[in-house]
Amino acid sequence: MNEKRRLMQVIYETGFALDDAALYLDTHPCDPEAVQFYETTRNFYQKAVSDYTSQFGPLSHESARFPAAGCGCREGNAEGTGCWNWIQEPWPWEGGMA
Amino acid sequence: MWTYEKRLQYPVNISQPNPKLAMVIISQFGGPDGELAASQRYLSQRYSMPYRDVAGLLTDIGTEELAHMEMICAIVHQLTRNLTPKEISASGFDKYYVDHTLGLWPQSAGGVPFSATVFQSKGDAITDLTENLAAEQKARSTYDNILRLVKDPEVCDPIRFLREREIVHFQRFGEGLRLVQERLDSKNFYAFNPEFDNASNCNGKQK
Repeated sequence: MNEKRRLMQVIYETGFALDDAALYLDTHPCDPEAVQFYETTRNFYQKAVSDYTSQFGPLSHESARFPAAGCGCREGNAEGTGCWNWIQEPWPWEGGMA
Repeated sequence: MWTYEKRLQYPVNISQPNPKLAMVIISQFGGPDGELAASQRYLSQRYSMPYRDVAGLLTDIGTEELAHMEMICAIVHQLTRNLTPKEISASGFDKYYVDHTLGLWPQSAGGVPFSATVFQSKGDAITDLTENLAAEQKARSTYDNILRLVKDPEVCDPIRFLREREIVHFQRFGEGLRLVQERLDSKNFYAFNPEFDNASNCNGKQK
């Protein structure tokens, strides 16, 4: 499995674990085991998102970057800032994030 | 995939209830030109949109419409807080109250339930973007109509914000339509539908 797919697999697994744990915590906000699980899992999730978005493209507006290459403006723009890469990679319904 | 941020896009802090006004503003929740229809229109259209930048525009504006729906619901909620049965009867809010108490339910000002028939997802890039341009103007007109009836500055302020966003979205959809047309046959934008046709059928010769 390549690095991109491996990181996305971690994001799928830890991301879903966080979604599910949050529902449990909504009705059991003081459960120490659940609180600890959420904190530990969130660390793995955040690390995977940070590694993925720095190498393979954004997962949210906040993780968008401004590369000069491959943005359709060839060398970036006249000011050399690079371009918004939110719209470059395939959308998830195209099978982009499989 | 969506995540929720625990804030409104623009603050709503209304101190004076006004159920009569709430019954008008609720149209922007579940009415024909409301925010629920807007969000579902754009978020439904994006799957077959073949241009990634325009699919991104539909995703981002569709997402913002969800936040606008939340603002409208917050306005209606704050306008109907702490009502007494006497106030409910006197204001004409009783007809809504009997079915929904003070709960939020998507309907138009005239009481017509929300329906997907108020929007289209046609699967044709030019058609859908033209629909969206009209939708933004219809919503802008609705906010203009609401603003004529509002005197409370605490209600005016967030409604003015929402009205302004309709104009921004209209501008962006116009740019989206231009981006699509630039990629089509400049002699005949309707030569093929980029969401359906390809070079192998009669409608797709030019692709």
